[in-house]
Amino acid sequence: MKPHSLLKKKLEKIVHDSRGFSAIIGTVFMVLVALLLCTNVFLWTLSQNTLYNEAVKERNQLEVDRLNERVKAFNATYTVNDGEVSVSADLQNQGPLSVQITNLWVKDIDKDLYNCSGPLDELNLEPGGASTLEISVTITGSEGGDRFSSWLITGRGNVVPIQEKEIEEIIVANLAQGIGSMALDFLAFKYFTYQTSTKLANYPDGTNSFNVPSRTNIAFGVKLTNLDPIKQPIRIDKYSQCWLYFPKAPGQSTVFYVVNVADDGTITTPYSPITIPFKETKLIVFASNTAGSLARVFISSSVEDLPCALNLLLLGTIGTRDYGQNIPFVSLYVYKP
Amino acid sequence: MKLKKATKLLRNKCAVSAVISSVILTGAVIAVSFVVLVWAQYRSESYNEQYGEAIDSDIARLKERLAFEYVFYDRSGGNLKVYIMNCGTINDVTVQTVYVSNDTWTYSFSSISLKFLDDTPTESLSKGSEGYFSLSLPTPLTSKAIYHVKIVTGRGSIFETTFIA
Repeated sequence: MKPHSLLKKKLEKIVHDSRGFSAIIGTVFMVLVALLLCTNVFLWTLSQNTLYNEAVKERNQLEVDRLNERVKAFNATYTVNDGEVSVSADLQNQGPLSVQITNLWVKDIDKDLYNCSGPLDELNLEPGGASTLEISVTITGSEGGDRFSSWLITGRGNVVPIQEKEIEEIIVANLAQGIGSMALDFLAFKYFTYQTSTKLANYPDGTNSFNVPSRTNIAFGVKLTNLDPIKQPIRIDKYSQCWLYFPKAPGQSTVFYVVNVADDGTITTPYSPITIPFKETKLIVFASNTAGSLARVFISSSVEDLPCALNLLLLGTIGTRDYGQNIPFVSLYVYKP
Repeated sequence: MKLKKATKLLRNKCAVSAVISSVILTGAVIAVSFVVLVWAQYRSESYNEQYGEAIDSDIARLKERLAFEYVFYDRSGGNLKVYIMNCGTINDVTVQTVYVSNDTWTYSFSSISLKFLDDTPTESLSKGSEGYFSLSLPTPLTSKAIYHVKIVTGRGSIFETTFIA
């Protein structure tokens, strides 16, 4: 018998044998079911994984975009008017993507106050674009002479610090050559009366005025900022004073020597030299008739209703060298209380 | 001729019992197979649903992103204010838990009152919106020391920053 005839005969025998037929159907059925289900689960899992991978890609792209944001904010200047801090700065987009600026935060470093501008709707920078920022932020309690810092928030969540105008430019703009390293904040000029014999009333706010009473013990408060071009600290010694002289009353002058004042307004003695680091502003109080201790001073009634000039005579050290500076320009009017 | 064969088959009792048994067995197998099919289909659908939910949840988490705009510690009141912005690509970002810590201790806060910058209370932040929450710390923070703030969102994302008290 030929081999193919034998095979054919065996196949016919299997087909015509009814025994085991149900098992074959069952097996085929089960295989089909398993195949169907596996395919279903596999395809579903594949589609979900695709969605996840797309989300990962999207997230990575956002991160890359965020990291590629390059915004430079510089030349910041701050102007305070009745609690409104106006911030002016130059912006430059140095990155390859458009940038949306969403918020501006300003902090008053001296008073530990802060606020933000709220959403900025139309401040967008194209790649390579530049713009000028002019925004006011309300910080109740801030006043001229306070130091500020500020930063921007971009739509992608980056924080962009705003660099302050270079100090050399401030010096050129604000100090005439030869005046010296210390700058006086005229808007913050104030005088104090006494609550007790050694404690100033309403310290550190005082009274912001250029009209001062006679026959009343008073002290003067000035905010001084160290703008030394070579960034040295300035130390003010006990002979530093505030000197009043009256053009219409020759020979009449009053001197207020520098004193130390505690946070609650108490004048502490003996005097300990005050150091003002570079770029820092301090409120310096002049109150005593004698250098280094406290002897309260009042302006004589003989100069009532007269104007006078106020000079600050500052003495001490700057870095390791001696320091002496005379700051004029404040005028006062003495009134009868 | 055919009629004669059919009559012969019907009269042969042995053959009839074999056919009936085969039909019953095949029917039973098919019935059981269908039951197995339905059960397996149910199980696979359940698995697909769970897997889909897990993937959706992961995708939503991936789309979440919070930026810290400012962290301010109010020394007088012992409060910590954390200003955040939803800069992700999904709405309804909630703050579930916040941890404040340094190298030695950790405080956790779970009841977070989220507010918009104009002090309006809100449950969540939509895309691009900014808000803040305030935490009352049980102990005062050391001045000039570094602390960490960790935010866990409702979807389980974690965002961290550091600040100087």
